[in-house]
Amino acid sequence: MEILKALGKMPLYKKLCLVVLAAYLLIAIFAPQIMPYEVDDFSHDSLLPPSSQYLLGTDEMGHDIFSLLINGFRITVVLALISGALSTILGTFLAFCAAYFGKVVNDAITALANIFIIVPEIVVIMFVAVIAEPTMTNTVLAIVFFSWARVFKIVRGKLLDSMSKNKVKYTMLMKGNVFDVCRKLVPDVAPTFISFFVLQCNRAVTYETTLSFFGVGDPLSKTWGKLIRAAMDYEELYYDNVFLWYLVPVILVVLVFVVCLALLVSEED
Amino acid sequence: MKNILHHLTKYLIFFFLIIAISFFLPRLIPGSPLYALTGEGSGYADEVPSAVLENFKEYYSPDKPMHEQFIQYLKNLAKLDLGTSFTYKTPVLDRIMAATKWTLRLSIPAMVSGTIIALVLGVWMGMMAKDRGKLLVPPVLAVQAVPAFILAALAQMLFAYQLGWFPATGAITPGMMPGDPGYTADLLKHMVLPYAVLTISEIPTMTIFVYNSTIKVKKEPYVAFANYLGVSKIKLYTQFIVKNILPDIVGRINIQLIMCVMGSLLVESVFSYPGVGALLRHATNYRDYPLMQGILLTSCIYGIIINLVFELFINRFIKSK
Repeated sequence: MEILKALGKMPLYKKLCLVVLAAYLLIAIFAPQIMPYEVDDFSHDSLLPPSSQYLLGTDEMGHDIFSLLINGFRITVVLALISGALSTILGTFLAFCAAYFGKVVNDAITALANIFIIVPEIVVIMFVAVIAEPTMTNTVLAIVFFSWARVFKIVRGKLLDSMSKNKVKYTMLMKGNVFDVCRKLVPDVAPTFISFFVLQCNRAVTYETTLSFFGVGDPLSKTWGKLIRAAMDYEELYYDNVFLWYLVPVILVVLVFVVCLALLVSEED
Repeated sequence: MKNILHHLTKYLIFFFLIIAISFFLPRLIPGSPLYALTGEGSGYADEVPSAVLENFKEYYSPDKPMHEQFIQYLKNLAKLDLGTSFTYKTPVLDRIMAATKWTLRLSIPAMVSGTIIALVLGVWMGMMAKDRGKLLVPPVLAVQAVPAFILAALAQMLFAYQLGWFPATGAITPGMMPGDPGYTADLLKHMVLPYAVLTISEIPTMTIFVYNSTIKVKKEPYVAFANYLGVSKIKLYTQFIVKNILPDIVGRINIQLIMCVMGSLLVESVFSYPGVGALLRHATNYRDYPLMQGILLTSCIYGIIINLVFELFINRFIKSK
């Protein structure tokens, strides 16, 4: 019930974002049913313009671009959810360790987080992804391990605030174990956690797309970033308006996704 | 004094950790060439020409024990030797230095103009009657969410390929030499699109920050009093608002300085602008590990130096004001 109430209070543009994101999720789930052709089916004539048979034409290899795009929903949405969840959990877990144990643990993790905040995240992620074996798992791991710092900083702040409250102090005094303390902290941190989860999903999509554009990552999984890269590498993209169905749709799909994710958790004040 | 020492030690530790990360990661992650050379061979070595492999071995010396390798690595770094690029066959540092010139030429002006636009926009939004500026926050956030390279791709598509107003790639028309007639004009023409994209990507974060600061300052009694006294609008904005939010903003320039160089890396790679971004794209395309590592180190050190300078001098200066 409370969730419904919160939803009702949302400004219109946020509701709209939610609807769009739900649509993305549905497309991702039903991608195999929506796709007219298989992803690795390159038996079609190459470089066909859009038609009723090939909604967005075909690429220079003979793939159906529409199928690739729909398949990208599945890969990217799953990737966003997994990396977003893992990096938020990692950041929150480290924040809890820092806040709960304090002292050396706190200093060490905070120093590490500070490094990742002042150095360019994307270069570090790219470095790791380049030297690792090019698989989707490694891309996700690179994103997760090097993008938790902001989550950590904010959540740690919240946890420290919350720990100075009486109910938590009391639990600690009563020699409550870690789980008891956790239970008291969860309600205070939950809203921040959810916002960060959405933001981290957004970041993961941006990072993955950027990595793919730089040619890093699993060459076999056709993410949106790889589609953009393939389109931009195609030398005659700007003849005969090919870009209109090869490049523009995938760019729009990425844009709408990241913008909706960002707006959904934007703060009003 | 004690404070300065504290900051220096902190950043020295950061610096050391970055070096350690850049050393250990390639040796620990499965699938990397160093791991392949030291650990279980996985055929990576066969793909690299033998002369390059020799250079590679000489620089990294994978057959020595780890701690000796690390000491060797530190010695090389102390001599500013970042190794030799696999593909260019020249020292990595030379390549990066040559590219940095272009990156700074692009990113520093973009940062300045982006910050100025953000300042004007943010104050204007903050000073709107009845908090109407709030309505502009979502659009600004939407622009913020757009990945820099996608913005670049869109600008290239529209203004270079469709309208043909500006050249699509490069920093200069091939064959143009310094001193030729029209050289500077050509240079500027190539700069317009990457510069504009970078400026736009610099605006949103700062705008939101300025907007929030303005809202805070607006509630101060002296602003109400100035209003009451009928101080002119321009004077109110410059003397009362901007003057009071400026310390906050200057304290944030370090973030802008790092953001603009990172944005520049992505934007350059789209426009094939010969800066560090294009170099990075080359490095990732050809798996040029020493080059990759050099770019990682230099960009991290850049971040460290910027933040150190800010903590030591600028924040101190702001506080003393």
